[in-house]
Amino acid sequence: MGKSKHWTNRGDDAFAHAIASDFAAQIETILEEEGIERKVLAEKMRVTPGRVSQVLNNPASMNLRTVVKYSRAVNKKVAIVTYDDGDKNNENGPIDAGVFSGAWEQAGCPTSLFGLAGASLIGSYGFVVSQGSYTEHSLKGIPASEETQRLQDFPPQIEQTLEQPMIVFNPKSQEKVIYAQA
Amino acid sequence: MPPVPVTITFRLVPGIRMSSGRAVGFLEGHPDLNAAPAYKSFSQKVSDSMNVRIQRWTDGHDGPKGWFHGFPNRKEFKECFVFKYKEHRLYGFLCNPKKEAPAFRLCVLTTHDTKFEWETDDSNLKEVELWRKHLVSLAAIKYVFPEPKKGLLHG
Repeated sequence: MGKSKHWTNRGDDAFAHAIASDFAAQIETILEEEGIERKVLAEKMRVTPGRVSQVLNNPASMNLRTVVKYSRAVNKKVAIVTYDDGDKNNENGPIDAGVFSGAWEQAGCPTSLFGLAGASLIGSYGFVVSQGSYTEHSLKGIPASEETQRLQDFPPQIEQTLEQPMIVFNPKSQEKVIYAQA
Repeated sequence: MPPVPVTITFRLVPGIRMSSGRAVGFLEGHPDLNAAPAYKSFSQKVSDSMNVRIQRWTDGHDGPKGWFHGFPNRKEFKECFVFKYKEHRLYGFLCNPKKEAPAFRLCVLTTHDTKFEWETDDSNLKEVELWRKHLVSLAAIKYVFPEPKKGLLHG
């Protein structure tokens, strides 16, 4: 029995429907958890309760401004995240937004990349990056900022075995990478 | 419910990504099991909206309650579950089919109904309960989620 492709594999409209519905679910959950009635939300947004229901039942019709308007009306902010989950043909569907917001909260709700305890990538040089295992504070070595000053190119050419993890800031991608011994 | 001379089968909802913690499927093969036929007959919009709800629960969310919910406060129906979109209701029951992963929850959809009242019609939940307790349901689910062979539990 072959594995069926995710229903959003049908096309961009289906994918858009899924992620817009994900957003609508977040708004509806906030309304439920905070006991806010739709008519109160409608008053705040200066639209009719019918319009709120219409949008939440058919969220694919929302434009970006509407998304922001609804988020702000429930005192939240909103981000648009692109990501690469290795599923280039979208056979598995979109990742739930809660995964991203949950990870952000777990990281202590940083307001910039500097606030992230650990970071992404590697796969070369025989080293691995330990996600979240090290923080700048816990490192006894050279602070990441000094490394940034010292390194002319990114990624750095690391040839020796590292005695301790090293944080390198990539000024181009604004990405913080931890190099550690594999 | 009449005797069941037909073959009852269980299959996961096609096009929904199963997670490590949850999955949803249809019990099929009897005229009373109308959830799968109804799902097939949904318009694109209704089908997509139901898929969104099923995927959301499968991904680990427990709300919004306006989209899906269980009946934890109804002792006799505490294993029942419903997915909702507008007037459409897909009712089913929850079970734990993986002995090696007891926290894994499977929602087995059995019954479709349309409703316009706020209150759930107990007859739908009673129908779900009959199927939940039926041996053929257990056998159909076990066919898709077989018990692991001894020695393979932890890979």
